Amino acid sequence: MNTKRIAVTLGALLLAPTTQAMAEAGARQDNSQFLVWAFLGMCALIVIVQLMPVAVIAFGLIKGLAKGKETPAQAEAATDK
Amino acid sequence: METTNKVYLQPTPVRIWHWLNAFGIITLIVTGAQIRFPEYISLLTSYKSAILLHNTAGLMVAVSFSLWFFYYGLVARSIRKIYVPTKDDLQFGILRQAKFYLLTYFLGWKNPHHATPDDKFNPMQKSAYMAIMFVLMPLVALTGILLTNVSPLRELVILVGGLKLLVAAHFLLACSLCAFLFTHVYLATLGKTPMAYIKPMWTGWEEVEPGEHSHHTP
Repeated sequence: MNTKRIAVTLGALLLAPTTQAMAEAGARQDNSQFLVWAFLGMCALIVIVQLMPVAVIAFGLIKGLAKGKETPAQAEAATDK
Repeated sequence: METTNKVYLQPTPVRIWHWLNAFGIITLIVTGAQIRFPEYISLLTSYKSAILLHNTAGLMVAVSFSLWFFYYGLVARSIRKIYVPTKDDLQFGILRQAKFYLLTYFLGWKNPHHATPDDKFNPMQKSAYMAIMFVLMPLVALTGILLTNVSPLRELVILVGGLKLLVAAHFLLACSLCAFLFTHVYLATLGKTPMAYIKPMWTGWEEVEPGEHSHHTP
């Protein structure tokens, strides 16, 4: 029992300073780069969301043009079906 | 059954510019407040973070301002038509619009200005936006550029009156823009519903009742 108690006490004594070291490392951590990237990401999101309707229209136009380029034979075959 | 027509009031480049500008200016206000009053405001983790984010947001707002100028000045070529008040606007329009905002709006009267894609702004907006887009924004950007490059632009900084004067000017210009922001948001909610004027700025389309022109734009 005593051995167990000594082991736990020693373990606690050894681990205790590490929490302080971890806290200090956290305090020194500089997340300014993360904030800048988050800001730029949000800006990119605004641009993408606003351009989405334009992309949908452009896609529809291209699709329409591609359909319009069907040869008369192809169109005839499609109506026969 | 009541049907509504839709008017395409805000083209894509204008919408992109507007929302980038809005997000950028809010970020500039928050970070700027921390830079100016670090002992009272610490919304961001560190002072260094606030400075870096402030500089990035400033650059982004300057880029989006260029997009605005490029679109209205060179593509649509309507910058003068949309932003410069006419003689009639200055003589009668401003008073008419002020009367609406201060009195007749609360009596349920209709907005005396009818917005169209070529005539988006009422006389008060034209005057306010002209001061903001042609005076305040360029000046706040210019003072910001000088403040972020003090060493390489030292002579220019001295020429405009020194660092203290530059910091004070940048701060006062920012306060003016901040004051405008609150007015802008308030006026944006004066539509038929609180979102009636905000929605078109996101989608581009404004709903108008048949036989009626589009109203507004804050």
